[in-house]
Amino acid sequence: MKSFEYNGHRSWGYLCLKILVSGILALIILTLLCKIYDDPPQHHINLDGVTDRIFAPYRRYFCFQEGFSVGKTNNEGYNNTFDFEKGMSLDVLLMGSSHMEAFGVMQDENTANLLGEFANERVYNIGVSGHFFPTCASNLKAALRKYAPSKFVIIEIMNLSFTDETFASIINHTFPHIDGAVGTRNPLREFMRENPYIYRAYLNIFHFLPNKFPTQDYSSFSQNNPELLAKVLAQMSDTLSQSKSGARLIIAYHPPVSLNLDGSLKIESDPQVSRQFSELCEQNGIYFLDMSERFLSEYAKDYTLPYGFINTSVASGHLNRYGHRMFAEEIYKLMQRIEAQS
Amino acid sequence: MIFTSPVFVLFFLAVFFVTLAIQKFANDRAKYIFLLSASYFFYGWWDWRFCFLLLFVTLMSYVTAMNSRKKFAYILGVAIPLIVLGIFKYCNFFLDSLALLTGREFMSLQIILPVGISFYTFQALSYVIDVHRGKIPVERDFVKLALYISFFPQLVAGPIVRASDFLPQLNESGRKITLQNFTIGVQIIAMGFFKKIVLADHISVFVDDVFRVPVAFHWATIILAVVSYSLQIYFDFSGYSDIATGCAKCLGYDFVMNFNLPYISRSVTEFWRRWHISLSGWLRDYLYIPIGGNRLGKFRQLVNIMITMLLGGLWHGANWTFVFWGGLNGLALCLEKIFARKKSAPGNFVTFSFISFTWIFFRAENFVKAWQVITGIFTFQDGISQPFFWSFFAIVILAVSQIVATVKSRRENSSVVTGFCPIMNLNTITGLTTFFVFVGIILGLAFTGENPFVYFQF
Repeated sequence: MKSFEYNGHRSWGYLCLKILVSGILALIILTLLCKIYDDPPQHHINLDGVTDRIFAPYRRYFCFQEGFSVGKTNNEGYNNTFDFEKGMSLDVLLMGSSHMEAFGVMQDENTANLLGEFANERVYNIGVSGHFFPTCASNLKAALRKYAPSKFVIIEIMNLSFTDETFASIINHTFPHIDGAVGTRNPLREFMRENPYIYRAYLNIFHFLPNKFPTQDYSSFSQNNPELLAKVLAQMSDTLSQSKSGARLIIAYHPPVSLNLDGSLKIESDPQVSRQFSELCEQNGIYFLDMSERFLSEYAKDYTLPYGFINTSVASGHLNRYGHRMFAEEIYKLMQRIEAQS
Repeated sequence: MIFTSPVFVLFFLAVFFVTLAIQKFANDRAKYIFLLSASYFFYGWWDWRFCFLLLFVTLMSYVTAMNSRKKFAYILGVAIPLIVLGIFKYCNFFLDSLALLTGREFMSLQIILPVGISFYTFQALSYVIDVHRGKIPVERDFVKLALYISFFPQLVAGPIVRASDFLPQLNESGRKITLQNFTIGVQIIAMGFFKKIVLADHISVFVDDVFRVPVAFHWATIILAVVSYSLQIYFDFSGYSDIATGCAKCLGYDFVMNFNLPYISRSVTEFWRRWHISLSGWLRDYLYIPIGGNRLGKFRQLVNIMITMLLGGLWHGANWTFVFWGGLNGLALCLEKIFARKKSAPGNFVTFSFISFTWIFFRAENFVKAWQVITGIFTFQDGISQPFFWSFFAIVILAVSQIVATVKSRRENSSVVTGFCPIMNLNTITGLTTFFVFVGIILGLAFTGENPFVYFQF
């Protein structure tokens, strides 16, 4: 047997050509496969300040990595089943993170659509991944200016504990914007994003490296600085009253959960932190919804979990379709109570 | 530096190209010294202190095998690896068990289990025993012997390569890196990666969930988790073996097949001929046969089977659950021996169900958890339902591969169904494209969380 010599064909150059042709063919096949397996829309920087990033308008997506969903973004690039036109009247504006972005469930199963169905109102969803409470609080003014919902603004959150620096930056309007489009400053990544397969492979390779993506730490239950939190909430309340939209603000909190060793459900949240948050919200005219009780009762009833999909770990990750339903139902109940009171 | 980490990929590429350069410009001895250094570097990556233990075991095997005609040297050659294994792997286990039995407290030793110790001590043992039996000549070149024991592809999780298989390869001048070896090797590696990071690692998410809190899950979900674990451990370990075999092949060396479609087996006896073949063969040749095998009557044969399987269980881990797992398998083997002539083989479904049942004890961290899994199934427990997608995907892959292997064996008129890794001709555009698509699928579907190989703990 000869050593490492290429003797199957004419030359090494010929082999390289074959590798190149095969590589291109393989990439085409993989791209087509990825189009129907995992082709989420990509973020772009949003310049109107309503959200830090946005998707391409009318972008079809297939997401089978966490849950299964097929859908299309609307004219603005948000995950809604209807378009938003300037001057359109909206009843409810839903802000939040990737849970509201909801690429793990079908479009008609996400919170915004269910809520719209229950309330028979126009609920507009501008949830985008990475938009946790501080980002939503920072973007509230711009969101109200643009959409001016007549009834409610709902901010979805999954974490209640924040540092003093975070609160200070919200108050001082210096909270850093999310680096909107992943890779907008990097031409190579920008090019790669356009191909769903290359982007998928890139993310997977990137995931093997340590400290790759910033994630929110849900495990910290430290008490918030009450003065700073009160200031943030007061500022949000002021923003709402200045907007003259007449909408009321609901902060809807869905805590992380886990399974205890005895099989019961554990709410990964400190009741004291939740109580403090709730009290301060109340003092500032903001409604606070805590999903803890609903999650526990739903689990006790028939072991339904709000998080996790049939292709991921149970009780973790994003809200699944049951989680969205519970969330929408509880928000709807609260909306009904508020409207009944007023 | 696990096989599926980026650092290993870089390490292997570096080893490959340096070996290629040495092959081109220097002699075989330089290549062996380099591969030996690389293997120690690979091992030292976990903890450099482990290298001294590896070197010690190798030195002892070298010296004792040189004098293995003398009984004392032979006993020493067998005892030393076993003592090393006993101290590092089983000392605390026995102390804890003794404490449990006597009710007295014994001080636990602060010992770190050196990765792969069960594998390389068995290789060292097989070398000393084979030399003593006259099956292979003494290896006078220390570098070659050290390379045999420490060769990085098989060092930490097997397969347990026999000296009689590997040492002759080091004496063959034709063992070189060639394009043909490389193209075969990378395809075997790719298959290993697919099994490990696409199938086994995804399944592990579900299995870990259920085995952590069995009392929370619905009985049907628990059954799916038990079946899933059977698949996970197969894809994990055979995937590792494939990567090891592929790496060795790229460098010009051949390893024996370690898994041969185990879940196609129609009896537990057949299963053990197809599962972890290098270990089963080792236990047969160096434990079962020396203690009498089937030469001393039926009863002694059954006793010998039980001893072999109990020790085989213990080899897997210092925990009574492993011993029990070995015992269950031993019991099944004994029953098959007793009823061999009265009844035909139990059949594929029964065998798979039994093997899956025994894996419960292998996977559960203790008997309490194992019992929770079993009672969850047999009491038709209510709980969380999780029809895990990746489990069904893996079942389909396994079923298809077994059907293909069966059809292939029938076409070739082979009486035994044999697994194979489909090797494409990478000289053609079709072959290359298919291979690239396969690699692309692995990259695209890879599980990206932390998940070491199951067999690393052994």
